[in-house]
Amino acid sequence: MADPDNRWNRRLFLHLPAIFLVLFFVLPLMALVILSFWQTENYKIVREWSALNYVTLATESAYFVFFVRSLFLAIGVSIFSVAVSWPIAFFIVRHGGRYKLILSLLLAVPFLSGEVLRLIALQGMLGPTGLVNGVLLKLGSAPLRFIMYSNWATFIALVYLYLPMVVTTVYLSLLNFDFRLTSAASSCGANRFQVFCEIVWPLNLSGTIVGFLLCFIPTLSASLAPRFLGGPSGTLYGMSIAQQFGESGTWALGAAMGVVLFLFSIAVLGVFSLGINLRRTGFTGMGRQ
Amino acid sequence: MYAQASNDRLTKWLMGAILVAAYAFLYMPIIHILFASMSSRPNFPYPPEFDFGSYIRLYTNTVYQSAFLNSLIIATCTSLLSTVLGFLATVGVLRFAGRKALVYAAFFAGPLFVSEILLGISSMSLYYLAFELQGNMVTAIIANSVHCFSFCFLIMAALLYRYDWRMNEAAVVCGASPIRAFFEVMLPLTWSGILSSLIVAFVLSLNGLDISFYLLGATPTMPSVAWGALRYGVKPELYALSSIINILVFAAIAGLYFVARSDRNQPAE
Amino acid sequence: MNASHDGVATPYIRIAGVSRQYGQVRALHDLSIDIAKHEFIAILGPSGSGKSTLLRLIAGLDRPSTGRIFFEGADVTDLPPYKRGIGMVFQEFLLFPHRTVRENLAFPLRMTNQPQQKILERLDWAEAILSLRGLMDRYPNQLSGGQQQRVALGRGLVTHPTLLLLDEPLANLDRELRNEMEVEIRRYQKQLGIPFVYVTHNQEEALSMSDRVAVINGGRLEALGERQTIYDNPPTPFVARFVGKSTRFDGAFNPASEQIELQRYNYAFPYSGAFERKDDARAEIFVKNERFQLSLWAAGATGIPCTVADIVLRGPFVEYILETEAAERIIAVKPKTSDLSALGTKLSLSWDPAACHVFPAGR
Repeated sequence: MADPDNRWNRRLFLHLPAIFLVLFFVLPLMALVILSFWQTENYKIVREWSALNYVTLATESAYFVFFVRSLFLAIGVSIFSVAVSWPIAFFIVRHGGRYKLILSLLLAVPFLSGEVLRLIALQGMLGPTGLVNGVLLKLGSAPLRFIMYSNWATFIALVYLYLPMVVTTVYLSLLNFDFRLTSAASSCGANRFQVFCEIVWPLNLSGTIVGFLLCFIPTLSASLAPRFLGGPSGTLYGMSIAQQFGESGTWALGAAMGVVLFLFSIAVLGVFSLGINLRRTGFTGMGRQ
Repeated sequence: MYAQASNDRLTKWLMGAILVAAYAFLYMPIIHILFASMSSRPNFPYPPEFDFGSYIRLYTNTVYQSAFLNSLIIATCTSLLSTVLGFLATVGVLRFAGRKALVYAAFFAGPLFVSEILLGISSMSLYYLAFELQGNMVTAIIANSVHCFSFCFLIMAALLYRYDWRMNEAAVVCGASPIRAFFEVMLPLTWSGILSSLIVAFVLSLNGLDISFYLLGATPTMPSVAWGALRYGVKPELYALSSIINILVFAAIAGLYFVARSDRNQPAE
Repeated sequence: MNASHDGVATPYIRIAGVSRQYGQVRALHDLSIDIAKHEFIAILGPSGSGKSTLLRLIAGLDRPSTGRIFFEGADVTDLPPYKRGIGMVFQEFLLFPHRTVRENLAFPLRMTNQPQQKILERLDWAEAILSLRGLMDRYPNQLSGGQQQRVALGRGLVTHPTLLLLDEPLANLDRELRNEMEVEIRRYQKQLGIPFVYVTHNQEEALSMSDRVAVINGGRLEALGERQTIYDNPPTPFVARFVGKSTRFDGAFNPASEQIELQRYNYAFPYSGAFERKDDARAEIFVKNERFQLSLWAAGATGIPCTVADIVLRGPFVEYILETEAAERIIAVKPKTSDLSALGTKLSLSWDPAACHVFPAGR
């Protein structure tokens, strides 16, 4: 293709979406950073520059507690989701045959219903008068209290919300995996455990990590799930941010919390992407050019 | 692999059991709500009844109606905007980015790794600080588009990854102008990606709360009304609304699946 | 004809009565082959004949429905591939994309828990014997097709296995490279002194590299023998057609004159073999294209009259495309000489009766 053609193409196809993102994704984030250095008083923003918000975050232990709680919850939910997703995705890819697409779509579709509707459904199931406890009551046994308004409930809810994402990611990774490599490894003397550890797992590691992150990051900032299903001691970080922007009107503090969250997410992403050697996960290119 | 030892069979059944458990886990709440919406005893609707009272009440409830309309508008515009941008980005990355393809791809997928709430509050901050705006439908659409754009980009990139770009060259050699080549050659082979992207973006923004909420405040959207109702105790209309949305989503995806499958059965490819 | 026994006490590799059934479909019927230790055996057959299935059974990647497989006298039929001590080379190479050449080669040694010293020794050996110097730290996608091929070979050989299985390894290479590799692979086999079982649909490959050839068709063993024998004396019409390039004629046996008379042409030649069928004397005749005898057409010529329709030069050989009066095109292969018959020349086509293969029709 002639050079001027390519340049226009580049402008249209690459620069346009990139500019859109810069304007409406990067700029807002910068605005958030700016806001975090200002103050709010009586529901009004005061444009005084100070790092007071960050000091508050660093010193008031409540916020630290929220963050650590969110962190542990996010790690737990993500690891659990990945652990459950692997056998599911593996089964569909290896034994799904003609029904692979349907089986995987059926797992992905619930994700589209959105947080609110799914939390409504989950609350109906797990609530004190919901399905699970209703059945238990009818059978004459006591209701399970811990599955509602507790951290366990939040855990279940977050897995419920993000499992489809993780399964789909791992599924796509396994789908593109050449299973004949397992035959080659077997003929080289690797037993089934070694085949998994040496061949199947590393070559699907990047997909697994993407799935993990797609669950970890939203879970870290979850606000709705803990609000409805979490207990009194279950305030999570994201929920707290929502409160700053909602009831308490302390936008600047909320912005600071948001910035902290964002930086932490970037750090996690950075650690993972530096830790992954793309070649080591079998990545050989971005398709044909 | 080599032989179906009893070990293998056990593993297979175990994985299958986990799969079934996953389906149950994901779908039971949805089905439970479906039954609850048609029952006079929403808390424990078994055995299932078929009372459509709550649906009728939903239909006549003006708050829900205006909220739903707002959501529809947002969803339609978002899906169009994010699909168009996503398509441009996909073609750009796969075809024109050269060695920086991975960098661009990472940038375009960025919004996925930033939680929705951050997108919501950051956009809100920007509009408020820069323009003293409280946010309106347009800003809600744009913010949702940022989020959905990444999904669209990934969906279309996944489907276009194996596309052989030399077909465009073949078309041009046969006398087609580049635009004609696109419509005649590329579009038929990629429409499924475009359609999927439209549907996914539509549904995600229809149901997404975090982003729209922060940008619209008082203006009701379907999820924010639902959320409001949820805070003050659940009403059966909410279950009805939820079930309708779920069924629509399911139908849309099923429709997409069947159309895509019949397309594939034709000897074109 | 389904069995072959050397008469030797314990053959190195024995495949005994092996068959494989998938539901209603029988991929292999009751195959038995014995393989000696220093032998290069080719398994030749068209697509879908079951040859790859047979290879997978020997490797342990699949289980036979009936029959047993023995390595050095030990029954390995129930053993998985990683316990059989084999090496295998795949058509698509199947090198591990996330490992360097060095690590790919070291893999089988690590899987069988070899001591570090031995691993280093074998890696050096592989590097030398396969000319992989300078490539050891590259990744498979940074290698050319031929280089990948050598690494795949190396990975199969690095443990000095009991035998090496090769599944059409040259199919993805271009012609020149293929010819080179044919010679190389044969050399490795002679050096290592282990059996190579080489599956291919390309009969030229099979004949160029192997000691013996097993011809498989429709899941059955059609023929098994020394490569020269298979070529010169094919035991069945399928083998006659599949191995070497030949032309097929219809004819019938005339018991009175003890001659085979061709159906389409006024040509006959003496046949001394016994003709089994008493009621049906129809026959198929196969003549290898290089066994045709051509002479200028003159009065009293006894061969099949034909004209030169086209000439194709193939290096040291010439293919004459001859057209007969029945509008049939026959290819005759001759060594290239300086005086080639020109286009349109009328020639007489014949052959030495001992140099053709005759079978009763419909067998």
